[in-house]
Amino acid sequence: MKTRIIRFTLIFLLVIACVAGYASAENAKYGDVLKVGLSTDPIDLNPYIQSGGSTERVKTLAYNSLLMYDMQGNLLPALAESWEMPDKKTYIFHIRKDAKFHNGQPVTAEDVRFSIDSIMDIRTGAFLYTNFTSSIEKVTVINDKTIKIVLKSQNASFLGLLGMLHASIVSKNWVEAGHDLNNEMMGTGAFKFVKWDPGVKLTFVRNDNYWREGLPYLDGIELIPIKDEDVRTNALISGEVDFIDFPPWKVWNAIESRPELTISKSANFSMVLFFNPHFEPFANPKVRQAIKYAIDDRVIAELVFFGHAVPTGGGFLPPGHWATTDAIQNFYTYDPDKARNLLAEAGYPNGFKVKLMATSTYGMHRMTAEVIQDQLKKIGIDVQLELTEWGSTIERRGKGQYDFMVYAAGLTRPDPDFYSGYIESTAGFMARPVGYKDEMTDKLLELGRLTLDSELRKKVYNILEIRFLEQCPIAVLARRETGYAHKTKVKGFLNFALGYMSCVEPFDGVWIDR
Amino acid sequence: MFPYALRRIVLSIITILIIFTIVSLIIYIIPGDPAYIILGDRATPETVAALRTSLGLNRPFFIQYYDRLKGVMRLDFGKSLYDNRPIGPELVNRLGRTFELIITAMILSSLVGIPLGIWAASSTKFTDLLISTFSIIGLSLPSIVIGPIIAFLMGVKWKIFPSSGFISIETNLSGHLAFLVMPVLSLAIFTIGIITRMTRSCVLDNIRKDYARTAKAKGLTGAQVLFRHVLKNSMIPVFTLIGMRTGVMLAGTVITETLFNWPGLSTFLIDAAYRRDYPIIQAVVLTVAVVFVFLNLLVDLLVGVLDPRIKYN
Repeated sequence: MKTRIIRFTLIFLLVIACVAGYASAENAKYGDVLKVGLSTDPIDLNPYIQSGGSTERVKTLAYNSLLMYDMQGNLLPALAESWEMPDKKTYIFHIRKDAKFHNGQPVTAEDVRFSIDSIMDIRTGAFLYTNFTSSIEKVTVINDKTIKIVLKSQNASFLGLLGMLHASIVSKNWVEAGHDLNNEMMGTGAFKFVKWDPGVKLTFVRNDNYWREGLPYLDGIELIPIKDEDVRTNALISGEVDFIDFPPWKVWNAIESRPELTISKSANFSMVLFFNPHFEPFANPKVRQAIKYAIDDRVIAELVFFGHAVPTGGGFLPPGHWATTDAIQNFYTYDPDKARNLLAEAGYPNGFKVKLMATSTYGMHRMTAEVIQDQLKKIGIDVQLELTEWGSTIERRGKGQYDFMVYAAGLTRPDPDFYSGYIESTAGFMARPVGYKDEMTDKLLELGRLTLDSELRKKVYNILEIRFLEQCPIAVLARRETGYAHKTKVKGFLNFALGYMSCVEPFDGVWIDR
Repeated sequence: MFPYALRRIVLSIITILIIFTIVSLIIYIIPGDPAYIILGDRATPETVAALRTSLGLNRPFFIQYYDRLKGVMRLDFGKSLYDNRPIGPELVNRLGRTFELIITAMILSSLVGIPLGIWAASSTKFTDLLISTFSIIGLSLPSIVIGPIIAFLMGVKWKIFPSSGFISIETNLSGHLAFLVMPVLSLAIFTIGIITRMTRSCVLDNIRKDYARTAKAKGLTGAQVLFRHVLKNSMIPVFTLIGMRTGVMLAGTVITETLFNWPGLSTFLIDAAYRRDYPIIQAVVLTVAVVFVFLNLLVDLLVGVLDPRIKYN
């Protein structure tokens, strides 16, 4: 009798838990096709190539990596259902048994090896080429569902790389059969690629064999390139699309005033200044610090982003990130007097003349440059604007052909080792072209990777951020909010704040509350 | 006529070749390396060099130029540097969509502008004043001005038509037409103004000539004089204008295509220019040059047919 009561109670509790779990999925409804107004016409569909935030959202529809992130930045299993570390340099991944490509073929260890080899092939032009070639010693297929990766040295940030879109797993057989990753997609993601009609539409349909049980909710997604931001906003307001990316900041308040529309926001990208130490004044960190002290981020936040940006006194890591502290977040304040003193200490009491490069293609870059020009005038720095078209800007940035420049940068992934992508002297895309080299920074970055203990890593990155802020090779300015505007009845979209290239599968849980 | 036409065709081919060469040189010289744009933040000298090699961009200018010219002669425009898709089919799609906009706009402009111009020239002073006022208003409203107004009023506020986008005819004919209306209106309003003014001016000019007075004196009614004699002579400059305007529109639909998200040739070129997709830039510029040059030739020959006084020798 007693056993029966206990059994019944346990079953009752289990049923309650299941119902509660169902209720907590917000009563999501299946069906419908989501129409998305995209701010760009994708230039390629290759998951390994960096193609801009908008195109990369598209790629996440069809691809998964071995790992993924939750919204707090924790790594979760994805195509790898589990992994172990027999030693500090070795990872063994067990591939999910039910993971299949969109053509029904199961995902195997060979596909994983092929994907990693592709990333490590210089001809691919992969975003993670340097990260992988500098980290990975050897990749071995143990069996159909098990793969071993041996690193050159222990690396606490390596797993985080496997949670990035650019580490997606593609089908070896499919690629070797002659398909082109640049204009077709064969992944394991929630949505199957159907067709790409350039300038007109990209069509995806639901993947019925998706390994995430119960997902996706949508029958499909249609992405319509609408490059002009006003046209895109009109398309949302008139109801022709359900969702748009990058609504212009000037209309955010107008959109939010409509009850039928919502903006999903996250602040994960900052306007920054890159300094070229070859320009003599910028060889001195005091001058770089002076410029940061002289810029009032609030003006940028108001004028450029219509109030939808947050002034920043720290580095790239946002408040609340495990690797930063409140003190670091308030390292810099707006202080033009201190700026003048620093300039005088550096030997420039009367300021100097300098050219500021910014792209004219994007209004936020140009307007930020104009604000900076105005503010630096007050401390005696005569800034001449060089407004260049985007292609020229990219090339000159890559070759280090500027005095200082406006750019936009942010976390690519939650792990603070993303800093190496900017400021490591040999690999940082900001540091290398201009020859910025700080031995302490390089050593701290290496130490951060080698340190496996999380508390010790936190301390290392605290010191790194302080060093970064003291040396100021990059002045981090206002952290802008990135918005995705959609109909209020579109639910479940994930706007990840901790890494715009990280896999959170933002559309997997989207549903429409009709 | 035939020797003239042949001579013009040969000259046209030479002109197109010169244009192709100039464009090839310009895109080779201008700053902005597509390898840097493709690689983005991960561009290093090694990865840039490897990508330039795989894309064939490291070859000397003359070899690249010769290869591309050879391809163009075979109507093979190559592939996009970015997505590797053959350019030819997409070029045909885009050209077709832009032509659809332009031809529809020109037909509408002609069907409205010519009768309005004739009416203005042959009617009362009040009617003439009214029509002239509207045509001047039309002339003051190029697509960059009238386009956003049309898009907002008809697309967003009144929701008469979808505010932007495109559906192919094969997918949905009525949907396709619905998307077509606003961009065509946006292009046509300005052109209606021009054609109306030109037609009015030509008709007024010819209606005062001796032959028209003689015809009237011989007993023909005003309408008979107008439609049998005056119009034929008046239309020659108008057709020339329509031909020229079509060519200009071909090069200038970028505002309309952007405003209404119409995936035509202009936006194809602009996007390619931003990212330095050289094969697409060359293909589009060449196509526009060919169309423009031969359109001019066609107009010249048509004028010769319409006006027997014109002798090409």
